[in-house]
Amino acid sequence: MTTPQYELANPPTDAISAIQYAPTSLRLLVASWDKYVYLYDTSQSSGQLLDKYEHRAPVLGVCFGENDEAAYTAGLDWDVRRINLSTGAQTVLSTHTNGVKSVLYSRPQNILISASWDSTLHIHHLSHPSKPHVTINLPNKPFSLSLTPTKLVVAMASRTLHIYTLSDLASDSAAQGIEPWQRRESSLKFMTRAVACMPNDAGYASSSIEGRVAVEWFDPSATSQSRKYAFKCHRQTSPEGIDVVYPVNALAFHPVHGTFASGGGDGFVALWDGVAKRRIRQYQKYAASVSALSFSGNGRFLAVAVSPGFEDGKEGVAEGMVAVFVRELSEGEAKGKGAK
Amino acid sequence: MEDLINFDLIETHKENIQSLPGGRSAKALASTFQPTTNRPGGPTPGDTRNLNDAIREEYELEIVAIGDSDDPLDIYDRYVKWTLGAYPSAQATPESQLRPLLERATKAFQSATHYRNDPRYLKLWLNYIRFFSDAPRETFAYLARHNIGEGLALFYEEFAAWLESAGRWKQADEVYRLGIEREARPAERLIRKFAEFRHRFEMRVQNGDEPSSPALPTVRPALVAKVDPFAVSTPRSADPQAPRPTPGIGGSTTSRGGRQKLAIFSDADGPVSTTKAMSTEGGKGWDKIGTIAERKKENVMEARPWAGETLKAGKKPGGAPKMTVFKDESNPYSSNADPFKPVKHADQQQTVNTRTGKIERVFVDLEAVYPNDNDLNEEMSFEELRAKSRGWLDRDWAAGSKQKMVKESQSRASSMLVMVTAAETQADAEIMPDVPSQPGTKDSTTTLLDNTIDVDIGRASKGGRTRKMKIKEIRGETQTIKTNLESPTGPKLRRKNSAEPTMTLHTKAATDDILDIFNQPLRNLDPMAGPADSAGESDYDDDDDYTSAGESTGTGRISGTSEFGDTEADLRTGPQLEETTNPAPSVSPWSDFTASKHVPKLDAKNGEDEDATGGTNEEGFIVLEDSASIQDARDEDIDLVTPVLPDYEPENEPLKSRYVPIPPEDYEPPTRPYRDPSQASQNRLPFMTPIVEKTESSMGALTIREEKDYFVSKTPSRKVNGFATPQIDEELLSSPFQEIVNDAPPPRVPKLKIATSRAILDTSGDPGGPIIKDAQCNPVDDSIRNIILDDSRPSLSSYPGYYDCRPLTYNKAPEIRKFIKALTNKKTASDKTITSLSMAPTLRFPQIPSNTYTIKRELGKGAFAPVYLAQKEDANSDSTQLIAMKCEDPPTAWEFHIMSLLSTRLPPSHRASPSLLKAQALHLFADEAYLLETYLDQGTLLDLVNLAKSDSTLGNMTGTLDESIAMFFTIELLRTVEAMHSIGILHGDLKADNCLVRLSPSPTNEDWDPTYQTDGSAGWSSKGLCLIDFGRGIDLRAFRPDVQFVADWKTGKQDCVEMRELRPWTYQVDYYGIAGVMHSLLFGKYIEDMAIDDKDAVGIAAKKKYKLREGLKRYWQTDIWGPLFDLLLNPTSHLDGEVDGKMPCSMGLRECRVRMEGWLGGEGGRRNGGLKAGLRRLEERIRERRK
Repeated sequence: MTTPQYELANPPTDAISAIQYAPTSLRLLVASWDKYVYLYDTSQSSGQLLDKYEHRAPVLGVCFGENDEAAYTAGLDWDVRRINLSTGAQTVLSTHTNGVKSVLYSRPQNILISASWDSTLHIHHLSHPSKPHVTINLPNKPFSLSLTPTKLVVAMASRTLHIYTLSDLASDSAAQGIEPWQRRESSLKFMTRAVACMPNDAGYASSSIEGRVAVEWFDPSATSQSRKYAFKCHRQTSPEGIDVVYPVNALAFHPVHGTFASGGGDGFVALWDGVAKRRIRQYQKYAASVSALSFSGNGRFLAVAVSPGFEDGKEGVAEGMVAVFVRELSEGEAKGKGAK
Repeated sequence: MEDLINFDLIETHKENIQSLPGGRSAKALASTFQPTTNRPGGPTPGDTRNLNDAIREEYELEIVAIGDSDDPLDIYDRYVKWTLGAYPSAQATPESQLRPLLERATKAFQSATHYRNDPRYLKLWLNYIRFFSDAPRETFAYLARHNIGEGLALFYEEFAAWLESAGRWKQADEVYRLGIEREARPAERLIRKFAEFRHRFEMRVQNGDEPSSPALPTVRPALVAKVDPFAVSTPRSADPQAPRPTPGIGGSTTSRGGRQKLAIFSDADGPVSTTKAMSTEGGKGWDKIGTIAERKKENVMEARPWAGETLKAGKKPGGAPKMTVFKDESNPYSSNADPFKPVKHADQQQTVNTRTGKIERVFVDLEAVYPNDNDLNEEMSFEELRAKSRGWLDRDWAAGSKQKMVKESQSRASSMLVMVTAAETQADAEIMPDVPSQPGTKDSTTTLLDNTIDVDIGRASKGGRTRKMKIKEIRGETQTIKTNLESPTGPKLRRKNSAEPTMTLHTKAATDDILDIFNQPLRNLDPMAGPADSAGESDYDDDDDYTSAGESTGTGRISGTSEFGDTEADLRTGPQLEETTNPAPSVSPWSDFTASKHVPKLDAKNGEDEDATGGTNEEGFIVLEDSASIQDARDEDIDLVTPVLPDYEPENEPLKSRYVPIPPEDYEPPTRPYRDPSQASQNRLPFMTPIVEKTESSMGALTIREEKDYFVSKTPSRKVNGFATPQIDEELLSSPFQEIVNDAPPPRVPKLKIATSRAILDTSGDPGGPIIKDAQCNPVDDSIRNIILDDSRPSLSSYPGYYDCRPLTYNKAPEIRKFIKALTNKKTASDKTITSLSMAPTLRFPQIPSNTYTIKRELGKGAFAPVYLAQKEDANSDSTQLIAMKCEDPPTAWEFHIMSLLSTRLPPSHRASPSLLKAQALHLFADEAYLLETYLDQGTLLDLVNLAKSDSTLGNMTGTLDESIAMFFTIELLRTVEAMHSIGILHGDLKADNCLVRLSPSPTNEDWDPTYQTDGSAGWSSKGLCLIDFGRGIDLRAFRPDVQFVADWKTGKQDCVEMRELRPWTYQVDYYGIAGVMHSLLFGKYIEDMAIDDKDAVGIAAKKKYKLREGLKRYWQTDIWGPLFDLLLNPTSHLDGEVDGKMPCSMGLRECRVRMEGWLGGEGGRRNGGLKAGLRRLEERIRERRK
């Protein structure tokens, strides 16, 4: 049952905030609270730390850019940066007025989207570096971003959720007045923790801090909306017989099969078939909270960032608690069983 | 030849022809069925269809243009007739489209009043009912509700005919009578038909089991005014099994008087307003009956494309566990929907899963994530929290960085944190603006004062609005009282504001203005104008005030002395002050109301007033004008005093009686069939009394005013009152008299109290009358219970052991639950850790602080509440005692009430008395209630049954109890229940686990005679059982004698058949419960019954009979058990020998019991070593097991 998995050597020294696989290669970016962004090559076993890039403040978001050599980071120093991974050169693209939570690159439109706790999105038109970024005001602090080829889902505080169409964001005409395509309220009662879009552009999954995941569809028609559902997960029974409900920190869709993985504060990673509404499998418990997940571009690897979260309001980053695991998925391991 | 009709043709098709009441045209039929061969060139079936389609098209076109038609009904009428003709078997073939057509037609004119009594329209409905309706009675009832065919004999005939065919003779009779009463036309035919019916009625075979409910169900009035959870969500479907009859008006006790029950439709007598309100509201609750398709929509599967569908073939090997789709029961939007009741997330850190009962603890520190309790939108993600804890969040990068940054954004991060507190304080400020507005209060009152004066000038009457406003003032008054009790000295005291400074604040100009307006000298008053007269009258007058103005101190104004606006305003300042100082409770809930009701005209008036009063006042008031709440108060005030019409009173009278406990002089005790909830709420306001006193006294002193002629002319109604109109001298206000006035003891208050209570109780005429007048109700309904509890005599609080600490919350339940949980866990895990248990929770109730109760363990979970074993320690006497403590959450005094009733109504010497559990005390808190009961340690009958299963020495081979023991307990149970029923109390939840075994050692053990003694002598009285759990108990004396209960909870096997079939019930619940206990004792299983058809009965109403699924054992005393079970399961068919032929079936049961006792005292008591030995064995087993 156990599939091959290895732990990356030279892991970050502090809690991991974000992790992302390169779209085409097996390079892996890891952003950490130790103010560094790490670049690993996972093509060979045990992985290899290629480089690390220092920032002024803890890094909260990282993503690959237009190629494997470019990365974008977002951090508590309010800056959105571009890093040339081979040279290590950093350029500041824009500065928010509060910590920047996440950053995402959209290949079809060649734009970069950063989300900050100052309740704004910055849209950077990378094809026109000279053009100033576009600021979009949000009603609340954004907590999580996710992209499909055409849409951007922004999960915010107060259980609000905006869906933008990327073509709107990328259009030149729309400077300030970009309206979301849809405004939604989370189906979950508690704070949204993560959001991830289906690779087939049909919908998204969102998770809350209270052990639940909701799966919803973009299509506003009643039939599609009636398909949405939520389920409980990442709950463990404590020795006292109390069900402890952990936050679901990370969600990631498999790029090929359309199934998704969830990582919880309980240290478990589970694979789900959102169509058949089944759990495909659950992996062995990790030593600490799962803070981020990423599938490789070909779907063969799943990177799991394990680091103590701040769920219980306690800082407890001990030595050896922070790790990145790369799990090689066997053929069809992440494939759904099909509707039953 | 063409004219001759070939009947052979029709003959061969006759099974395809739907018969119509009016007959069919043979010609049309012949042409429809004409085979094509006979008519070469004639229409083929296909042609016929085309032809029909063409005609249909025409009709449809006509319907499209129906708006232009003079007689739209005609179109439908013709259309339907054509359809019936063109499709001989119209109702069977979908192509006729008759059903949708009828549905359309009937629906189209539902609200058209002019067609209500159009026979054509009624016939459409009747066609619909005849051909399609799935519930004809419901449809008839629906028609009646909407007054369709109300004046047509046809309606009553058809309805009655249907009822008759269904065997509901009495209802049919009712319907005929109703029709005749309403003079439905043609009356002669109706009377003729009725005569025919009566004839058949007398000839019919008597059948006792037909429904006694009225033919036309109506909404229960008690529920109309209340929030009925069912009424909101679903249109009240008149369930034919559970109709809701109207209460008999005038306290009628005739059980099946159809006329009484239908009296709702005639508004000639009775409390007109309520009846009317009810009938209209009732109509609203059921404004459409729905098409057949709609009514059966749950049976229809939605069409889906086949693409992607798979046909299920066999079962696939199950793989991974199915992901349970979570359905959030609590509305996810609730937190946002109701801003007044924010769900504190922090409270949900640990919750109990309602389904599994498991405790769920959220790992996340919710308090950190939701830092602000008041604003759930304030959320902090983990990253933010971490950043904050590491100090990153406060870091200002803009300041440090070289990049251009907006300066004003300095430390956004920190400001965000501060924001939380800022928002909080702001919220506070908004909610309680009293602090800042305090200084301005003085001014505010004076402004108000001026406004009111001016408004008063024209005022002579109050509309319904003022009356409603009064309710608002009640709230404010609680505190007014306090204010008034303060010393009037000291410039800062509000009391002073309200009284003395009034005049000083008035400028001369303003006073002159007023005087001018009144155009009347003020001081020519004769104090001797007739004090005696007014003394008598003033009471009523005050009442009058009271009614219209509410409890406000502004009564003076209402008494009509409007010239002296000052007085009035002054009197009113009390409440006003309240409004300003404490706007949260008084203003905010009502400001909406004012806004909506506020007539713009008044605004204008308001403005003028201010102008009129002159600038001097205005200047001083700037401070308070800022305060929105004061503005509100002002608006309200103006609203209150709004002058509407100088002549008022008569037409306002009924309105008045709606809101006010005591109507004015022409007061008659209302004969209302139910307790008006609005009254009930008012009656409970104890604090209105002091205010009333005040007003009263001032009136008393001031009535010595002479009456102004002009004034009388202004308010003619006063004339009727006599010359009681108290006039208040302006001068008095500034004079020391004011104090005297306030201190004068009023005679009115007690009177008021009496009157109000009488208003409710007098309805029946005798104080012992039923509290609930409904003929049918759900006895465990909270609202009904509360009414009973409120009205019970003697009142609940008079029972010993009743401790109401309601305002207090106790909140011990979670702790107890936790402890019990830990206890059970530890027990299962290992016994050695038992020492590490947390301290057992100890309860101490405020009223009896000397007693402490230490929770030992959980005894059981009742239907509504867990029962704990607690050790009671009395500090005074050093005694300890084990008691059972029932922890009820939500708190209710009901069970205590029933238990107290039992112990008061049943003499302690009664044989059954020891068999009923005694309540020792009830501690009622706002959040939970603790019922302390005697603890019996021998377990329940259910335990006994289970014991017998496992222990062969106890029972017989089959693992059940010995028959003699079963019979012994049955006798005990029968006797106890009989006693309960004789004092009008139903247990409501009889089952084996609600019967405790009571095999206490007899006082002198040697005296226990081996021979069973019926009368309880020789030690037998100490053996038996003890009924517990009266949480579903029903006090029949609180209901009318012919009451019928309906159960709205989800029923199961353990519920009596009437409940399961939604039929009304009364004693059946206990009878079935007894049968269930007996069954458990005999068979060791839960009861299962089955219906058997009574061969003699016919029709729908044919009586069902029930028997046990399991056959009685051959060697049992089947001649005893058989009839008893039959009686218990079918009590209604054994009423012949009972008193009045009604339930309870005490006679039959007693007969059975006597036979059992006879057997047990004789042969049965000696079997298997004797009953005594059996019981003793049982006792020992129980004792062993406990160890």
